[in-house]
Amino acid sequence: MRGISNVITALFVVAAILIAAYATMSAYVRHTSDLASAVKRVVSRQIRATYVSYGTSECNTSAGVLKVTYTGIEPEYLVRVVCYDVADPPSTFCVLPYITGGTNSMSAQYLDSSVPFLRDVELNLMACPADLNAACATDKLGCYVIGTYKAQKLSVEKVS
Amino acid sequence: MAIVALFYTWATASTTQVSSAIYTDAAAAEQRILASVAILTPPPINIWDSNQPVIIHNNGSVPIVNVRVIYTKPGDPTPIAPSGKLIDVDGNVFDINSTDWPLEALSPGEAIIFWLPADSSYSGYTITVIGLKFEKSVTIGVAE
Repeated sequence: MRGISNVITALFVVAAILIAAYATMSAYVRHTSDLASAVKRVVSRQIRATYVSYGTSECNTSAGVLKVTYTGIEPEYLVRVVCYDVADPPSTFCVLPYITGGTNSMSAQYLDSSVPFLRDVELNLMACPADLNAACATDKLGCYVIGTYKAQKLSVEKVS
Repeated sequence: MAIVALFYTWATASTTQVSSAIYTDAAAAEQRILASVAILTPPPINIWDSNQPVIIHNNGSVPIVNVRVIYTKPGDPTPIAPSGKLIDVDGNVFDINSTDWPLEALSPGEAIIFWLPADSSYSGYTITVIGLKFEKSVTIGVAE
């Protein structure tokens, strides 16, 4: 009788240890999974931020169009381009409206969150009002691109 | 049997406690990762004869609530609340006057732009973004 009791006791102890071990391992796995997903989001955002050269933009004075090419790896969304005359920044500040996207199937819809700005796609943006066209002519156009994941200064070069 | 029951209770309680603590840590870490702004400033070593812009961009995944932006000039600790513009995710622009701070929120993807006064060098200017459970500061010319 005593032998049976000892066996049952031993079984309970083993069961308790196994349950404790399982609970600990389960918590560890969930913790690792949470951290991994959080890190993945951050890393993904950094990849999205790899524009490499967003500054392949040109300021075409004759057409009044600013061309912006996206060379990032991951798609960007809700892209806006803001420009100003560096000699008179607040009063000449404006957000450039899009004219066309880089392909026939993608036109003027980059502010729609469902349409990503993809690698090697070119945006053609209307120039700001006349005062910014003048700034463009004198190479004094300051522009920033602002997306969901990244904001960056554009290097604006005048087309000769 | 009583000893076994006691051991079982202790083991269960302690693992639950550990699990709870781990989850709290993970949630706090995740919150820190989710709330984020990028502060773009002009380069420090230049001779500027015009105002230069500062961009505050919410590149995180949650809104920064009750957000205030201030800057200080080198050698003068008096904080200055700038006037500027808020650009929302649809491309709308809203003027922000120095008396409008704090803003209700700066949502993911939204940006604030304001201009520092013309200076021979922007080295030493400090820009600070303060929100609910959030603060980030950069000093131009000093690595973050």
